[in-house]
Amino acid sequence: MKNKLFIFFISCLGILSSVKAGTIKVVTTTTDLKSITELIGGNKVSVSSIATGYQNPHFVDPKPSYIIGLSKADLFVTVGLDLETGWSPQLVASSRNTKIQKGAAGYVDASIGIGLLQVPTSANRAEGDIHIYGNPHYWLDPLNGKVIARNIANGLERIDPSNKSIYEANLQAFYKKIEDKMKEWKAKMAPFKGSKIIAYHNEWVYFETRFGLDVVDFMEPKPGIPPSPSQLVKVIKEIKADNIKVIISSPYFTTSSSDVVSKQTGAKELTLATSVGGFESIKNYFDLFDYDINQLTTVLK
Amino acid sequence: MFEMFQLPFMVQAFAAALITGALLSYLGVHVVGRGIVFVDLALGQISSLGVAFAAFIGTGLTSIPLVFTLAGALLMSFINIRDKRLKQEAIIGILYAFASALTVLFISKTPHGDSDIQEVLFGNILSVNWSQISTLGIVFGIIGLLQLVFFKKFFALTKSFELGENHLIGIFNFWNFLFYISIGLAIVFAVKINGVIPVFSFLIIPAVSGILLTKNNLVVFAIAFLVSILASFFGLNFSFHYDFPAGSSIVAILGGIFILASIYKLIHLAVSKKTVEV
Repeated sequence: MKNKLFIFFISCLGILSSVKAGTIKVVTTTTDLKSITELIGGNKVSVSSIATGYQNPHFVDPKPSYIIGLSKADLFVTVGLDLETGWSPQLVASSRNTKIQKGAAGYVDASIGIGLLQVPTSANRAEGDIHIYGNPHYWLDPLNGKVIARNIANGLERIDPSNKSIYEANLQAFYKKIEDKMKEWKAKMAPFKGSKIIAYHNEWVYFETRFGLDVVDFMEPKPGIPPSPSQLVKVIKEIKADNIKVIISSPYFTTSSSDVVSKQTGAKELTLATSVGGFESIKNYFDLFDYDINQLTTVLK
Repeated sequence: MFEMFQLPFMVQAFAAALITGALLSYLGVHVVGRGIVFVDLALGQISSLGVAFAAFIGTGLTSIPLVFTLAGALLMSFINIRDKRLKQEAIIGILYAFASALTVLFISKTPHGDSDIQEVLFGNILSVNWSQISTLGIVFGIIGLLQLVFFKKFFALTKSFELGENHLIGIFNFWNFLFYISIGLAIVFAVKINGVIPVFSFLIIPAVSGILLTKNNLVVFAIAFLVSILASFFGLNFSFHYDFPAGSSIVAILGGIFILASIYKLIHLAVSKKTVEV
């Protein structure tokens, strides 16, 4: 009897581990996509992100493990537009994994269906139209998170139709939580509607639009160009004229020029997270907004 | 040790590193002999300037850098100083600084100009594909063949720089021009696949290691060649097993080989000194 029980137990373990081995391997370019994929896929997926949350997603230095990870992946999720053009298409091509090449069932462009902002009207790059498809930092609007989640759920359902009901249920739960959280976040930000702020890089437009902030200017004279003396002078003037209280930046930019402006004007520097994992306490997509909104409301008070 | 070759992308990286290393280690012996080690960085910077300029005017992202680099190479081949107080390296340094400054100026008026430079010029050896490798092979093969056929001409030229007799070769020397064109083309294509620092290291470190280890000119070439192969293999192995960026891993191994060669040289010097004393 004992023996039989033992065998039963072992075979249970076997089934459990085979389920574990049968999980869908997902590789995402950023941690935000990883977090949302985990929320939608639940225990059916194992997800890894190439970029870390405190890294500038425009620049990632390829390592062998990234390509190996991609070569074994069932699903690849990218922010798209031209956020990762410098590295992710090359890595996906090098992986030679036909399941995740552009156009294949395992390729998810999370930007599909996003209402893009700052889409250039002319193709003249010299006029400041850097992102030819529009600003790619769209995950910083929680409602865009719903679109991302829908795209990821579509991808999972394409390659694993048998679990469609699970993904749909998780998706509905995600929608619900975003809507609940949105009420809380909006309420917190309400007193600061129209607050003028300065940002280091042009990556806050979606966040700004959703929560009614007003980013007056950037420390960078043009995206990707380090602050110039004349830009610092301009920003200092604007801070004084509009009584701006805060300069927001991201973990991967240096604070040296913001320091100068801060000392001259008394405006506070604030490093916000742009992705999950930007700071240790930010474990998932909801934490990201909790963190940033808490930080902002404290400073703007 | 050979597991990495089960993965196609590592095989491609190794093929690209071998081709790059083979030609650059050869050219490096000339470069070090002439005392112009910064020629690589200067030409690399001039091609960055080409990208910055192309991005600024909005066209010619692949052709303009090449034209700029070849023009830079032509310019450098004219550097032939009669005044003993000046070295060519000083002029090359000035070109480097000047090109860097102009690049910054152009970028400052071009949104995301820096990422254009990243994309157009600085490749990553882990994401190289076979069509890039075959282009590299053809360009490097032609340069290598040219250098091999006219080896004596190029070698005599380098010797004249080594001996300080370069004033004898005249303002415009066809072979000198051809040498700079070889370097210019090699650098543009190599940097596109390997990145700047790996190319600089492939050019200088094998040659210097060879010079440290032997006085025989032909053996210097052989050692340089061998060093580049060893560094490609062990560098990529190191990158693969410990998951480091590939370019920097190759440079680290090259650096390690240089240190070993220096230690050997020091011991050798100490021993030969002792035998003289005895």
